[in-house]
Amino acid sequence: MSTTSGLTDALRAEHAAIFAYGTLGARLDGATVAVAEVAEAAHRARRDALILRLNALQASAPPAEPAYALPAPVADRAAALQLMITVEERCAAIWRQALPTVTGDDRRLAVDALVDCAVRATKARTLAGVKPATVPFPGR
Amino acid sequence: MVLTVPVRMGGDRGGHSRRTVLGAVLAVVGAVPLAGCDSLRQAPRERPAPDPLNPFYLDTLALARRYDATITAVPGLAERLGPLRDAHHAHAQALVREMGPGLNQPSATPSETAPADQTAALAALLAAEKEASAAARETCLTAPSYRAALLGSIAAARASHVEALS
Repeated sequence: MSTTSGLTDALRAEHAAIFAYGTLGARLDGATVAVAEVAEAAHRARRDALILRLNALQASAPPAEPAYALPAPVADRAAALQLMITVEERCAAIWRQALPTVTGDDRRLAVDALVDCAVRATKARTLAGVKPATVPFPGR
Repeated sequence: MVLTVPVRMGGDRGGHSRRTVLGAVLAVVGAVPLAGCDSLRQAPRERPAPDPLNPFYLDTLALARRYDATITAVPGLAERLGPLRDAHHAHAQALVREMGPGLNQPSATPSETAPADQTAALAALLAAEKEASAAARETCLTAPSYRAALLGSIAAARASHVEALS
């Protein structure tokens, strides 16, 4: 996998994550919606950084799809938190896959993104009452 | 299962429905690690001794033993800290496998101590995890590509421990 394909996969994942947060936010309450808003903003920032980087590499930056299929209906708070956990775990996996393909500042971008996904997944598991709230190898 | 396989719905008739689009995106992404792993396995590895991961491995072992000591000193924390301790031991084992013959197994292992007071014990672990996560991140940044994913996961796990202890 090349640097470009690793970053392109990450961009696709960030697009999907942003879509998911737009859906799940409506099902959350006061404290949890604030966590989701911060998380969504972080995914937007990573998306923007990826688009800039792919442009600099003169690589194609795939746009967001108009819509994405969610794995399950987001009917309530519990389902919304489960979706948040899933999204963060999937994003962590994609950033982890990108790590061996990149060096320098791109490596920094990827490891910071992986770290942040793992932290947000732990936040979501804690809010959802999932124990343990951590996994030994995030993204694996 | 969620977000990993294309979702088939009776109402879809092909084309770019919502469900097939996300399914396709994630199916493509899901296919990547297998290809990546194959290429990593086939990559030539030159490992001059001693392996530069040895100091990182010793720090990882020390962190794991610090949890062991804390759980011994404050048994009431066993349930909460057990998964975090187990993760550090799993990291150490993964590093042993990664280094293979380049591992310098320490002949003597210094014992770790922990405060008997619960609040102080948790604060000490929190500080240690912050430092350890930053160290793993730095190690990841300078590591050869075939070790970047493992070290990135270790950095991420330690950062998630900071969250869990906060």
